[in-house]
Amino acid sequence: MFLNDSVNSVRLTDEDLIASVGQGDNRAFEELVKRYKNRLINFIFQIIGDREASEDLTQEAFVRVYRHAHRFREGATFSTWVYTIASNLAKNELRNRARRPYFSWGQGTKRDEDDSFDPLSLIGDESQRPDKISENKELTEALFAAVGSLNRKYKTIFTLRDLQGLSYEEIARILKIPMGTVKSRVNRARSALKEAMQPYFDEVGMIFRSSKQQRSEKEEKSVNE
Amino acid sequence: MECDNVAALLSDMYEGAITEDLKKKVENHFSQCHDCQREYQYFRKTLKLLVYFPKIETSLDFERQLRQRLQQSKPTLWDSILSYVPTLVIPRPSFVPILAMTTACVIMGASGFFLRGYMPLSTSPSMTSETVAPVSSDIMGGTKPTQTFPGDPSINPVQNSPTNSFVLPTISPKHFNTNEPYLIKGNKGETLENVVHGEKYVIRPIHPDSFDIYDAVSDTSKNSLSQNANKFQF
Repeated sequence: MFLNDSVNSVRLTDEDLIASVGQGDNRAFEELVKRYKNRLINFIFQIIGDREASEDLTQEAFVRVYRHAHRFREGATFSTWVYTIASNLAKNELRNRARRPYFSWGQGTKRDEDDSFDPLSLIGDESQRPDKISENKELTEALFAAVGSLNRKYKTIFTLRDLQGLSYEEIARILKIPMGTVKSRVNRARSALKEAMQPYFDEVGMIFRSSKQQRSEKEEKSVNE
Repeated sequence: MECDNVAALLSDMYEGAITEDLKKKVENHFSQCHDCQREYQYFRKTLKLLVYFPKIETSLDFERQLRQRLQQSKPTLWDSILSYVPTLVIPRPSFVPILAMTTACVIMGASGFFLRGYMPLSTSPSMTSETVAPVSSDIMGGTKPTQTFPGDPSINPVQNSPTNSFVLPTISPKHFNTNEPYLIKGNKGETLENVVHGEKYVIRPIHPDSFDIYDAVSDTSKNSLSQNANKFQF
């Protein structure tokens, strides 16, 4: 089975495509690679923090998809399957690195080679506008570092939910944990990031005052005048 | 409502996944507890900052590298064994006891031998490395030659196997006969010539904006080889 043109391939669901791959349709595989390569590399990168290894594992994930496409079960969700593969690969990579203590999170990334690593250099054109950079540079750097410092199980769930945009149900299926656990871990990860970011918000004047506080400040000002 | 209870509901509040009743209770709490209100504002601000979160992209030659990987890597014994196990997720064991592995290999290897009707893996049309390699190298749109072609333009006959598997014959990129099913091997820009009609086909992206999906298109009739999808593999 072949896809007649690229327009048709856009209309097909991931599940249609993987079914075609299972029947030997390489164009369907190519379309899946196109749809998922950047999602997967970002997911893996957030877990292991190594750009080069992330690309390598993303390719390995696609190799497994290709080889085992014919085993994809009808009724299953492709994204769940491919994220499960990627998650297992990332987990194994971290496990292997734990056995080799000279590896750590961020090994091989630019941040290790250069202390002045700027995460904004990884952002797309839209956010490269000078005004946006000056406004968010410090905060983005801080957030990037805070996510990197999360415990792995929280980092994985946070990445899947807030950076990859997956539903709680899908994350529960990928990680094989109850949905309630997913929800509570997402909340904890977000709260941990909020704690980490709080000093930066205070520093750049992003303190949020309650209306009561604003009123009292206004009254104090009028009294002084 | 206690502060701890509110802290556990921050995500639900942010996502709007909370009942109106509970939302009012939380908002009432915020009106009385400046600390919780501020915590929620920090929470929201942190998550809104995610739109600026750095993202990376795969390298420009990601597809080429993947293509090479598919060509070079052969299915492992474990992959062959797993191909008979109908499960959704393929676990890759970090450690498998040698005895269990050996037993599984013997059992599955023997059953695989019979199931495949004495055919070696390389002759199956399913995804083995030998069939994957040429197909993936062409459809992934490589710009560098990944395989050299024989100068002999002769066409090999189709070889039917006892299990209805067949090996698509390899032809020269210069001449082909559209009346037979062939595995077309070629690289971008190469010309194929129909030996029957003399029509020339050029391997090019199927769409001007697409550099990943290739087809062989005739300059004169505008026919493409993929129109004979049941006959050709790219």
